[in-house]
Amino acid sequence: MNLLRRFDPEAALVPVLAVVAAMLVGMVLIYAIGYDGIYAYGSLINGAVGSQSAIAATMLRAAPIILTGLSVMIAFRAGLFNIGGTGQAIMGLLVAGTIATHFTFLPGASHWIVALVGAACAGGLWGALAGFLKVARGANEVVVTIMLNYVAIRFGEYLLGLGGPLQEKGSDNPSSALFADSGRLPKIWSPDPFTEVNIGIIVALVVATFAWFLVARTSIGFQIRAVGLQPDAAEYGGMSVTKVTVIGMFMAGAFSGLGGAVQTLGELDRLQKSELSVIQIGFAGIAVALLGRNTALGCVFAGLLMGALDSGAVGIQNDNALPSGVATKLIGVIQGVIVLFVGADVIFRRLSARVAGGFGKQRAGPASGGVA
Amino acid sequence: MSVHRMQRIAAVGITVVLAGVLAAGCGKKGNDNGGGSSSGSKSDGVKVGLVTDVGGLNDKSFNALANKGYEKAKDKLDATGQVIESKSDSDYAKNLGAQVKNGSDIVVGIGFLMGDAVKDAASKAKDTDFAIVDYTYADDKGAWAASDNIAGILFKEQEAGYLAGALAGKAEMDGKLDGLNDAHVLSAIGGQEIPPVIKYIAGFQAGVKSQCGDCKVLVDYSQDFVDQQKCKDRALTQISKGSDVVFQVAGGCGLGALAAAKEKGVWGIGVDADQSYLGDHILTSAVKRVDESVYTMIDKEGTGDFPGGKATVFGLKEDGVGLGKIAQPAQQYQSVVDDATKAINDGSLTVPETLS
Repeated sequence: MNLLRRFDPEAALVPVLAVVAAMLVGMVLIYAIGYDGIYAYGSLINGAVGSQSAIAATMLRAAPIILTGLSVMIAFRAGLFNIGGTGQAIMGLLVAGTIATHFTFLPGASHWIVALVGAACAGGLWGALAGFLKVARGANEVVVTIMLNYVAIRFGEYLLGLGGPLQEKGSDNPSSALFADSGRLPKIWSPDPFTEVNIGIIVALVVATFAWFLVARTSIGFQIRAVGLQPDAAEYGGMSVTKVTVIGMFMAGAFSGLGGAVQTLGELDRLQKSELSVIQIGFAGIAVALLGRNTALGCVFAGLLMGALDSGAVGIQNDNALPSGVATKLIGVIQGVIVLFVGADVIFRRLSARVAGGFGKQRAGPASGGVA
Repeated sequence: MSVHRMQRIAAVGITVVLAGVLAAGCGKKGNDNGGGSSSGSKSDGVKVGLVTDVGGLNDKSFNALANKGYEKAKDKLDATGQVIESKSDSDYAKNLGAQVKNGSDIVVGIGFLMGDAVKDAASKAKDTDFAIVDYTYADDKGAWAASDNIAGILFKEQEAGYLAGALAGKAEMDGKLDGLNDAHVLSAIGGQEIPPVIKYIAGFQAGVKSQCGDCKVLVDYSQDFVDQQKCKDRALTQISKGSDVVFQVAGGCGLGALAAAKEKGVWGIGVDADQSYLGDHILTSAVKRVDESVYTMIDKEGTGDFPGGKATVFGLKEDGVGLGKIAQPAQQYQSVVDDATKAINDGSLTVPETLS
């Protein structure tokens, strides 16, 4: 097996087939409930990419989940499963929102840039905490990151709750004061006044490029891949699994933190307590990374596709192509089935590899014992 | 793309012509944002654009009720339009904008979480009217801090809470219903400490105290309007502390609290919608007639007296709040509810809006 996996058309084939198959499943479902699937999919495509506004909405939805997808991707390359995207995004958006609201002394564009950097650091530290617990105490990062999600949610709820330090003074609502204008992400494209694309998508693309470069072209990237493939061998080869695990989780957390900040400073006016418990970009990132086959470029395409599907749900609702309330569920089903198909492939391959390897070992054991 | 654009241009053209012809009938048909492809053809009824909050249409409560009001308007007023569900807070601005672009005459935002997004959208779409459920832009002095094409919809939740509390307090004092213990403890579970939730619970507390002076009302917040398990866990804790009437004020999450009440054989009180369909353990429901308020707004949009630039308050008197079905065994206490209703309606009783 070559360590440096080059672009492999076969690797791209599975996600594409998964998407096509999931769309077919969705089509069958629509006809099964007695509606016109072709018309509904026309509306979906129209809502996803059918106009400048639709493309803008897709880009808005894609930016944060590309970032959380990269987060899952980089952790995965280091052999870690980061389910903590939600918590890392929340720590990021809390810091970003606080800077955007209160650090009004920062001049011009430095305001939102500092807010994003702060978000990356906060998310990064939150991720590194899980990495540290793994190497220092052997705590499984899956369990720790899930639990840290809840810690972050509760922490945010305390900060924004009535009487909390970030809650707007004199307000009855559990939310922060409005972000200063200079703290919001600048708009770069406004096809209509309601759908204004902000610089978040550029941030996502820059981070994706950075993530690719980091993994494929740097020394630490090589260590991340080596540790991810075989930690014992990497350790034997003189690499520090401890260092790689903590750095890998820091990177993962930083990307998720940026995802939270991009969504919040790009599209919201203030921090809302209610947003914390319904934030979906963390888990969406797992789907994006899975569909993107844990490559940076794959995450960009997968994020755009998932964003397009969500925009497509609005398109279906605009045209009343399906009964009220069905479109969002249908899109959820399609996204779920995509992940299922992609994941099933990975599971299948792993299983077949493990079964083959396992049999070899088991046969070797008793056989040699019997001879002795 | 180009076909789509031609359709749009045609739609705008038809819209403009029809707007001229029908100017007398419906004030705001001419839409300068392009309009949906059907904006020209169906112009007898009001075009409505409903945007749900993150709870979605199946919350069996708030968003579902607003949708019911819209369905009623489709039935009775020949209204047309579409509903768009929001998946996250960041969807609000995009979805409200989509409804404006659909050529809606009135865009209805469901829920106070959309406050900023509605204000922003309304300032950009001056020719579209907006209504927002559970929100006002009036400051302490009553000045309207948003554009005049928004109408706020507020409810006197405390009055519904008071009626439910009075009924529960009376039952508690009497102690004869199955499932009641001697502890004189009741409880409420709120979704979040936001004004509408607090008003419900404050009214409930006052209502209970009016009938049962030594009764205690436990209050807890689930910090969630969706996840039923969270409310169930909290309700079980309250029940273990002796609560035998659980008032849920947490939307979909609160259904878990009512399930806990059923499981433990105590009483539950529903919220927003009449939730008596959940079983015999539902004492009553504190009902917020979101459906009526949305219907009223659509109706007023059609008749040309849209109440923009202020918040319209729907109280007991306006049939905007009230009680749902009262459980059969508790109907003997109906007179308590009637007395409280009378006192509130004639102004001799003002229900507090904050917890004591």
